[in-house]
Amino acid sequence: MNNEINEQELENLLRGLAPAAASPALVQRVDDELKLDMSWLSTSRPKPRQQPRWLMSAGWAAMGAAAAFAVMSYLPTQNAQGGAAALATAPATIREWDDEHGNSLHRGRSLNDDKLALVVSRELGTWVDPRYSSQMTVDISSRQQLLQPVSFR
Amino acid sequence: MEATFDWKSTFDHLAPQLVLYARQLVDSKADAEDVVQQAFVRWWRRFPEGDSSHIPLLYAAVRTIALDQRRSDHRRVNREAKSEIAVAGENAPAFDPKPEQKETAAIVDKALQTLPEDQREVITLKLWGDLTFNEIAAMTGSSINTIAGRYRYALQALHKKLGHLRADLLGESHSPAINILPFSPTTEAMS
Repeated sequence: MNNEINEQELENLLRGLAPAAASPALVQRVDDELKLDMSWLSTSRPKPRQQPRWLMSAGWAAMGAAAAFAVMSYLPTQNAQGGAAALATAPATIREWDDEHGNSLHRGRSLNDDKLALVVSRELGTWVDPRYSSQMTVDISSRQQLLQPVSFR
Repeated sequence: MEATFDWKSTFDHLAPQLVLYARQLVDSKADAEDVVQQAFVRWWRRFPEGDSSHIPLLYAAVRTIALDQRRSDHRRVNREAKSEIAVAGENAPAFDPKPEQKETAAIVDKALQTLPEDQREVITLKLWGDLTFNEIAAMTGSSINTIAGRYRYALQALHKKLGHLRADLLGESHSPAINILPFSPTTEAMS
């Protein structure tokens, strides 16, 4: 008969041995440290308030809306002032004529070139609605070539 | 009302295995208990629910703290060499055996101490810590094959040391039959 212990028996034997219990002093030390921890936590850290998550998002959204409203209500006032200045200094319709090549008409070598002039125009239109104290300014720029009716040659 | 988790029952359940494991890594039971205290408090702060899935992390904390402590051990050893009080409890038993297991526990404890540390560590974590090879591999940073190999080698080494002590280790309850006859019939028949 095999008098030796086999590996399975050995494993079971080892598992069957209970490790020695921790000393009461260790339990006490851990207890003290955790109690200290808990007391510190309870005095220094406020309890997290139970509030719905959407409240935070809604708060931010409301603040954003208020900021946007403030900006929007400020901007028209500024435009109205600028518009008034523009209104005072400029006629309702401004038509400017300009030459691309230094206040003179462009002359090319060919006959056709001589007859072409580059016209750059800019039109500013301002409308004021007294009912709502609103003001609308339109800036229309154009750049076109015009065929001259006469030759400058 | 804020839920409070009972750390004591968790600690009572885990502390013996943790101390046994720490004892494989540090020199004395007192050191091992220091390590376990630090590791458990650190772990409990991190996981106050005492979730069992985080237990491998607790063993990992024990390991880290024990290895750190061992690194700074030279000065302490020199200091304690002069103090007789400090070495009290160094030879405290690692196991808490039933009366009939006392001799076995002493033999096993002695045999365990002869194993290389890495094998002792694996066998402690596996048999008493109930960790899987995978968990042990993760916490020690070794491959699972290495861990399984260490476990196998450790068992073989223990088998060599303890195998011939079958009767002593297993006791009468594990013997195939109590032989009350002055001779063994099988031996007689074979001879």
